[in-house]
Amino acid sequence: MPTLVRQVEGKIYDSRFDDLNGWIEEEDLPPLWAQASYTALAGDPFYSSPYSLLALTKSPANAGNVSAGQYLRRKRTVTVPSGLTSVRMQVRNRWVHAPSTMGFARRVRLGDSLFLDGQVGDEQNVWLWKNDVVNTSAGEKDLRVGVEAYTTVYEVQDNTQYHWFDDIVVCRSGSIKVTNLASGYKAKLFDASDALIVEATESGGIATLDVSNASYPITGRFKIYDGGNNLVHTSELSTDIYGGDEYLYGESYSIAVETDNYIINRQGASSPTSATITFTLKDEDGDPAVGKTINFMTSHGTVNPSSGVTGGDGKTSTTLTATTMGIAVVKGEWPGTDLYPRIYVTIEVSVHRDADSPDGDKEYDIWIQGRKIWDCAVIRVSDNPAEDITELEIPYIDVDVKGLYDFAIYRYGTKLFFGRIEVLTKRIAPTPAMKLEGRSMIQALMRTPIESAVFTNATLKSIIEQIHSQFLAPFKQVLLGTISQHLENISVTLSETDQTAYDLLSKVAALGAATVSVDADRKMHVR
Amino acid sequence: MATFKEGENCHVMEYTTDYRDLATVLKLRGGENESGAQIVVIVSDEDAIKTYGKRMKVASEPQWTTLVLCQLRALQLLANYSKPAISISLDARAEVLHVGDSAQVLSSNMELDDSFTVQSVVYEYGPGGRMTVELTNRAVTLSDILATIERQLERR
Repeated sequence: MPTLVRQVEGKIYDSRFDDLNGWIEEEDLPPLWAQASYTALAGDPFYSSPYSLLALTKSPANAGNVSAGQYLRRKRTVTVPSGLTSVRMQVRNRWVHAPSTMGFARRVRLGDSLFLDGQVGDEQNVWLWKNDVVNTSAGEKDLRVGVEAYTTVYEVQDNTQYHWFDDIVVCRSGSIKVTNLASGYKAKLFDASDALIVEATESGGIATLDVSNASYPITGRFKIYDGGNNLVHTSELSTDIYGGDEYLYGESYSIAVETDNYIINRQGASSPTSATITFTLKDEDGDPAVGKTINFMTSHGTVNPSSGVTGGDGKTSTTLTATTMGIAVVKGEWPGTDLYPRIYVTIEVSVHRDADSPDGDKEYDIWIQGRKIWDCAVIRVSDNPAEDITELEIPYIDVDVKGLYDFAIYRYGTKLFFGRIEVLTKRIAPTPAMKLEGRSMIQALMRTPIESAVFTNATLKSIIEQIHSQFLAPFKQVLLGTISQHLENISVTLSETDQTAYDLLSKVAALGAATVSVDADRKMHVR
Repeated sequence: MATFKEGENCHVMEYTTDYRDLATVLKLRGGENESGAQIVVIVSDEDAIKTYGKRMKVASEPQWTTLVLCQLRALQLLANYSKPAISISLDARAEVLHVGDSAQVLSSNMELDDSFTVQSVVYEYGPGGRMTVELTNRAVTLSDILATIERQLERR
């Protein structure tokens, strides 16, 4: 599945002035001015909640005049990445005087470059927005935010001027690039309400989106359209999109899993008591990803080792064992890199108490997760082409019987039914009882998703075999049984999306007037 | 919120756990947006995946024509499907309850201490009035309410 991965982060620095960590105050006002003036977080007003940065200048009595160039501000260091000769900066700013105007300008500087020079001609008590390109160079630069006297500021006792700053951003540029696009592809950026912000068609494989007038960070999502204007990818909603971001559109890594056993027995019981789970990692080109660490986890029992490094074939394995019966969901996760997102896959292994040991003399014998059920009041098995449903009523409440456990019914030692518990009802009154209901393993076909599958001029038999080997065989829940020979005589071309394995198999089978079934040995038959 | 404690003001008649609709990944195909492109949203529940594995359900609801609404709907559906459906039938001392209300159920027999949504209530008036309450852990939808009304009509 293609993804959009940010390769270059546009953000260089961003602060909403909700704290002043890393910002130090610097001022060279005359001593009495310095005592009465200050910079601090302000709770009112702010552009973005809860604070803004306030630079307050106040003229005490007998303070003398402030000379042009003297300042009161906060400073911190930001690092401009190599290769840049300019950046885009944004800041919200606001001012008001009380009672009369002072000759202080709101100024923001990056290194030697002056970005904001807000003087007294600006409207008071409204948030103003400065958004512009600033020439600079790579390396550490001082970012200064505050006020500077642009002319002599005369002493007027208790005269005060307020200057606020909020939402300062330094980023690489005013555009976003989406790379690796095929001819005619478009990249569009939508806001959270799905309104289009900007779009661009690729040129040389790169779509350049002009976001120079947008306020950063942008909250939105990207959509990629092919040359026929069909939507081919929608990214997750992101709240940190900045000018200068660069995204790579392409295939991500993929991970697959297979097991050698769907059913194992608890340790100490009869063989098999372990399952070898193998994970295969492939890169964006579909080649084995070598030397990558996969982390293993399980919801039941233990996996050993807990992580593995992929070999030359992209594969690595772990072994599952458990001391008690249950359902183990084993997960293999590749944590990803800056370039590629984390991916994971899961597989189910059913841990039985022991192998079933049906009594050949008994008319009916019930085993749940490898454990014998000694008393069963009602057994109802309905067998029909679509699904086999079995109901059991047990005249007591067995706390060890849980949902999704396997259960098997034997008649004189021959297995009649195998399936999983899907509905579990406990009844207390008038007497305690349990009722179980489950389908044969055909339900595994019904919950196996097939995102897309294409078969070109293939026989129905080979299509069925391919569906089984690709989507079902790795999990070992449903084994391949009989496929009627006559299905080899019919060839079709099929392209399907968003189907379950059952729906797709049924569709293929119907083309040859056959039906799909799964028997008590978990074998799938199409005949 | 009403509280039902087994042995004090209720008896649990039936407790059913249904895994048939369980899904941990949900793909919702919505309608077309303003540009004529079909909206498709995939959401997943990582905690549920740890317990039940990746189980995908594909749904199609063309009435959602903005991505945000489609995503919200997908999350709402997934919240319903990412845990087994539980339904409880209680025989309880009568009190005022309405469909959609929340009720706390405590039962040591069933190892229950959780809140559920009232799906239906049947009152039996008379001395020592009683009621039968059906509870669920799923959101009660309009179709649930209509199904309940239909059942009531069938009984007449």
